Amino acid sequence: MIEVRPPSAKGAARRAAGSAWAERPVDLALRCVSKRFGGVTAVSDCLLDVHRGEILALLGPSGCGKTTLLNIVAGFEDPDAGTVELRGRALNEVPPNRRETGMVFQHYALFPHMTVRGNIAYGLSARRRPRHEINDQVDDAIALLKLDGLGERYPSELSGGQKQRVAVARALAVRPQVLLLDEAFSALDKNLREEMQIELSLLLRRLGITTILVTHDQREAFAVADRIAVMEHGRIVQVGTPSEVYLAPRSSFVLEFLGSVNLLAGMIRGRADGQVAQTASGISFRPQPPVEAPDGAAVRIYVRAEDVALSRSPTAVHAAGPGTVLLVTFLGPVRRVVIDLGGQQVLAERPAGETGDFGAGERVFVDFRPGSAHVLRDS
Amino acid sequence: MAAGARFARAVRRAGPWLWLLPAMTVLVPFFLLPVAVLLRNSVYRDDPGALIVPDFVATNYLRIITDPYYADVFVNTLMVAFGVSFAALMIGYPFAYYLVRWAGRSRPFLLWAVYTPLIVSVIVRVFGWMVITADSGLINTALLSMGVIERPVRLLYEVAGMVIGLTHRYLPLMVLPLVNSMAKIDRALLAASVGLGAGAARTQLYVVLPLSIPGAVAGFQLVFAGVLSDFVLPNLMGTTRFRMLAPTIYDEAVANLSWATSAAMAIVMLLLVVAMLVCTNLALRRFAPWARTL
Repeated sequence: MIEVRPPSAKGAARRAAGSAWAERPVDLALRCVSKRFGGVTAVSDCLLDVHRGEILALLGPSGCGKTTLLNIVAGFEDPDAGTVELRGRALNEVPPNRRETGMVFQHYALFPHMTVRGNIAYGLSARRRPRHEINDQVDDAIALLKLDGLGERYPSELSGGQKQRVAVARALAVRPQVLLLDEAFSALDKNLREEMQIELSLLLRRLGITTILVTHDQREAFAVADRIAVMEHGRIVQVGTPSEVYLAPRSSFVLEFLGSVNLLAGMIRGRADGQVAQTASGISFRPQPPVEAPDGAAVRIYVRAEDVALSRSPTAVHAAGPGTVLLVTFLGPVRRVVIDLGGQQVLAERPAGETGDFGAGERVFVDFRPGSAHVLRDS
Repeated sequence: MAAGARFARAVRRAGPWLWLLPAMTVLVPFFLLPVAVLLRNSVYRDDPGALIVPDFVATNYLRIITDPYYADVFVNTLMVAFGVSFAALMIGYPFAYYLVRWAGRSRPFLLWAVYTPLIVSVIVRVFGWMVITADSGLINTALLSMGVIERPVRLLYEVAGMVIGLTHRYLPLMVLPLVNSMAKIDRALLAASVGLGAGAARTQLYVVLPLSIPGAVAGFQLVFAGVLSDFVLPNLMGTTRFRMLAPTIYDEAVANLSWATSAAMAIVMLLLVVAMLVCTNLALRRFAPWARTL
């Protein structure tokens, strides 16, 4: 088969390069997929390769089009433009019931009138598999998701975690080529959610099933996914491993969406020993890598809350000056300290032991960790 | 002071029950009491001279069950009740499905069309049906002019006309519970079904249909009970050659002055409704155990 790809597909392939996933075959390919609802663009020109066995998270705030994109893959929505390919086969004309995808819905959408077994068997019955084969595969799925003894229960008799397991078992029972998880953890309590995230990541890796996970929760994306595609206003703005996206964010949106950041307004100053971004109060940062901007250009300087160090004495090299502690909040492993730094509010997250004795009203010296600043040109 | 406190405490304890007071003041004297009197009359004896004589006999019940005249009335009425319930289900189900699934802007209009029969007096509607079903009515005139028939088909004052009227009268009671149960079906369930490989027909048969059963059962119960005790339609649109229960009870009580017999018939009618409710609920519990916890 000769594959004709639009020129922009090369860009997508290049973007995927650099991570180990690029060497695996592409299971699911989105090519310039777009979708509009009336006057609203839900998904715009999305390019994405999902490799075999990879867990990819579509991460973004609500309304960014991530669920629409998932629905396009599942076939519940038709794209206005672009193609979806699953293992080299174009899916555009394939109705949703003929696509080999398995979906776990946000609220699981278990059939309330069927038992756990009935729910898991549904996809197999729809494929008209022989009865003994259905029974075997349902048994397998029940064992896999640790649902032993719950086979004859109705969904209303299950806990939230059990419901999620049934939903996953039902989606996996048909042996889909790609598994789609739509905010599949959001209905669970925090502890259970983290437990299920670990369990499901382990299970999906063991099965080696290609997975797309839609979530608005950065922690969830980091916990489960191999790679993350960050979405904003219907566009995929960055794709990479969690650490790539976190450490080398390509836009202010990605920066602000992942973790807590401080935003400082600054200006580019060319100096003999290299480029410097300086805030109005005189704090200087060295952009790494350098920003393509002339002298005097306005820039945004971002420093993550965990890269802000606090001390009682002005010993640090990069000291930003003295400030006043406004508020200290206990967040378990870290404490969040809000500081007034010459009229600018600065957020610092420090390990609990380190800042245990800071109190509101105290004077502290603020230090931005060298090399921690992300400098982006103001648009 | 102490008396006042005790009174306040008594009111507080009785508080929840006070909410039942308005209903009880109506239901006890005007419903429970008459039913009790009926029950008593049904074991009394009819007497040509003294109207009704205190006794404790089963002869009234035996007669209405064994006498072909009365037995026929029960059989007729049950047949019509089943038939009308079935017809209402067959008409109401697709209507309700369209209303829930497809009707967009026409939805309020369709709902209004369902509610209208509940708002307009049954007498007015019967006269409407008379105009349509009479020998020289709309249906016959149309069929005659199209040459489909040569002589008017008798609908009015026949079982057919009565069934048409009854079906129209009780259709809303079928449609509304159906609409209610269909509207509760989560759209995600349909997507889940299709996503798992089921086509439209399979989704309809294995997801939508079972989940609308509670609505169908509720509709059936309402229509069946309604038809079983309907007095107006059999009287105005039916025929005396095909006797129905409610008019027969009326005739027994008012024309024949057989209060004991009519009381026994009324009690049997009540028991039939209760039996139907118990049976359908048991069937629902047996075949749709999930419905109760839905």
